[in-house]
Amino acid sequence: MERYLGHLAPRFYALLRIVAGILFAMHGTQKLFGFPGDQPAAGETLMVLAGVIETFGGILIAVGYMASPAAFVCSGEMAVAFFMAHAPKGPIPLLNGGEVAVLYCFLWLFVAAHGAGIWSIDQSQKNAAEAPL
Amino acid sequence: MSRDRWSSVAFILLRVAAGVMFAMHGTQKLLGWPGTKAPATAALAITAGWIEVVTGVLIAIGLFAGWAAFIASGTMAVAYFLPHAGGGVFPIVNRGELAVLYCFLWLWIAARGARWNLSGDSNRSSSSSSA
Repeated sequence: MERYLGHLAPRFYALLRIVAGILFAMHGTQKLFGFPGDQPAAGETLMVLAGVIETFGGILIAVGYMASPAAFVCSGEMAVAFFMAHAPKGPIPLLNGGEVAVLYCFLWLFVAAHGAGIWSIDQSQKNAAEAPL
Repeated sequence: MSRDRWSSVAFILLRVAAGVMFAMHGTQKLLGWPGTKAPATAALAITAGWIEVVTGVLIAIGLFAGWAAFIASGTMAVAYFLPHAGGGVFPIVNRGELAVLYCFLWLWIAARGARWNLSGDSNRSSSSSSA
């Protein structure tokens, strides 16, 4: 399959990064503004902090600006969220409600290590540095 | 470790964790484990369960992972539009977020490939611009 789709891998990575970044940011806006969804905005300081990290981190990752540090922070936030909110209910992510947290944690860890890739502000800055107009 | 090496390690962690959790969705449908719900009886659910178990394991161990991921990605796309998209446009509201995440994750891994051994070419970017 890599033979047929391999040349598309950077584009699929960018799609994944953008979609996951937007979805992640929506978790943040849910906590800060109650949107999307119909639950009220969070009141506890910890949840508001999580909301801020998720909203801004998600946007930074989606547009690919300072994606590596943003993703690293978001990955850590997900790890903390998993161990604080989900792990007490049991170890298996599918059962303790922490599957999304685990996925995001490892995904953002990879984005932090690998970088934003194409279709990102980071990449266009790199391109401009190498071949300035 | 070099940046490339960190990237390879992170990719393996992501692939194994996601593959194992994906396979667990399948075992939930086929065996009722993990969890307390009874195994599925509908033919569509049993098919989905088998696909999830087989592709999840293949991706986690890095064997034919490209093909497995491509099939898993399509399964998730179908899974999203069948039960989830009717509940509203935002995956976070219609509870389809997992399906969307898995769909795009598997699509990328289908194109990128994944091998079982740490030094396998597909675990590491072949050039700085590829993903």
